[in-house]
Amino acid sequence: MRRSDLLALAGLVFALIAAPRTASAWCRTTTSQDFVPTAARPCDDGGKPLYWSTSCVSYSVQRDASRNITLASTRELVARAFTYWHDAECPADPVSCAGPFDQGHPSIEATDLGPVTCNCVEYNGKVGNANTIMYRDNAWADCNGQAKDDPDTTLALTTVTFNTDSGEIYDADMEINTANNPITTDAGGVVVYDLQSILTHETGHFLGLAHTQPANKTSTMFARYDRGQTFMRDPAPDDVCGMCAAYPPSRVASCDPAPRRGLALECGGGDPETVTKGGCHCAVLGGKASGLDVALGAFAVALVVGVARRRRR
Amino acid sequence: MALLRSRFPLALASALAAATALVGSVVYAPHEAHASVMLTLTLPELVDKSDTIVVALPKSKVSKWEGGRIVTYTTIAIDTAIAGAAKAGDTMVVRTLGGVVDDIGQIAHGEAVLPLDKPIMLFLRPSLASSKMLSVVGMAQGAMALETGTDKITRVNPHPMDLVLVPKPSDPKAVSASTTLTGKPLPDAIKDIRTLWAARAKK
Repeated sequence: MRRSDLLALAGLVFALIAAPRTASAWCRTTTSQDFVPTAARPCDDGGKPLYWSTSCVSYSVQRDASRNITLASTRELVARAFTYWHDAECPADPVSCAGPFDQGHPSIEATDLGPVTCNCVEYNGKVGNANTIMYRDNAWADCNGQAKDDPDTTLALTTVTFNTDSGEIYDADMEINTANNPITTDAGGVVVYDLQSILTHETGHFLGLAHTQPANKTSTMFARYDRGQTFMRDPAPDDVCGMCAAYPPSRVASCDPAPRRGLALECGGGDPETVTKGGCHCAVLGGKASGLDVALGAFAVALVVGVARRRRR
Repeated sequence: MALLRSRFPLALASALAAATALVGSVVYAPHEAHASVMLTLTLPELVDKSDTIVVALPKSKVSKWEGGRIVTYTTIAIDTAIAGAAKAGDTMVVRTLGGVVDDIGQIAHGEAVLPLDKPIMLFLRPSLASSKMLSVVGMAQGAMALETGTDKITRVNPHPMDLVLVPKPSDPKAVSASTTLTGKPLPDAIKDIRTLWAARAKK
């Protein structure tokens, strides 16, 4: 091979390496605490990727929902968001993200365990939990009324709790700031900040995805959303590849939809070291769960476990 | 294969591919300091909302449970006071959501990340959660990493994609603060911020 050929070949190799990734741009959230994405290193490769160990995670919508968006409508939209992720068809190789997309679904699905009373973002180490989706209608504040920063600029915030050694997700809670923003559904006929788009994006975080690389501007997990847009409602192929990499169809995992340490309809206080049941002032916005609520929640868990077991047979 | 067998086409193809890659890299280079789902803050807005703007070095951090949340308190040493009452040499404590306690970690998508011993420009104000603490304005939007290149020049290098930024309805073409400052030498960025701070004081 002549020298000019070698130079040309080197140029081609450089081009292939330097070319922006458009086929596979997804990133996963990891256990790293100090990772700051940059152009040179958009995805963290130092920590362990976060994941749910079960094949059927659960969630609950806070029962008060929003003044402008009903509980029923919210449950429908959240279910649709999770269904988008689960119903996606995986490719043989999610890393290269090349088709055909016909290898089965991501091995994670989500189940609505019914409304909960608790409206706190919390993880309880000693009592039950709920993976809660809640609105902040009155103020961008925690459940105890403590104000949160950036009320006028935050639309939604997902908080994920995990084991730092394994990356296993223990809990995920999602807050939607309806106090300061016109968040809309199709029901109103006008799209402002589209709830379905926000939910599909945030459920991606809930399941362990991070923001996609900037090269892919049409992904649900892209880090920019414009007013009135709806393209984030359903995952793009790149998003699907990320989810399929996290939860391959061939993954062997049992189905246990119960939140960690069981479903809790009321708040548990949070602190794993000094748990005080009911200590998070849940009554401020949410009130108390009735005995019927608890019984229905327990029945829902039992029902889902039963269905899942039947499916596996 | 026919193309690759010919020396000229191979060279041409390589050159074209390299050029495409370079152009593509420039086009697709991150332009935004992004987070969870937040409205875009322009540089004037970021300055307006700030009480203190500094270049600092995070020196230590403590995370603890507050209710069901993990919250991290990071002690920062002020290197350069850009605006506000802080002085070089002061230490301050910044409150952020998320952190690690024992073997439990918690991430609040979009929150500012303050890596230890790495210089950072911070736009701060008293936290609404605790007036004795500071918080970063606009979560990750108000935390801009600094990097010193081989040319010995320190430049602003904000996080490219840690927030979902939503343009404000009132100004859909507003340019985010991070876009304005990305790649700017630190002295130039400080000058711009101080100009905006002075304009704010005159309002």
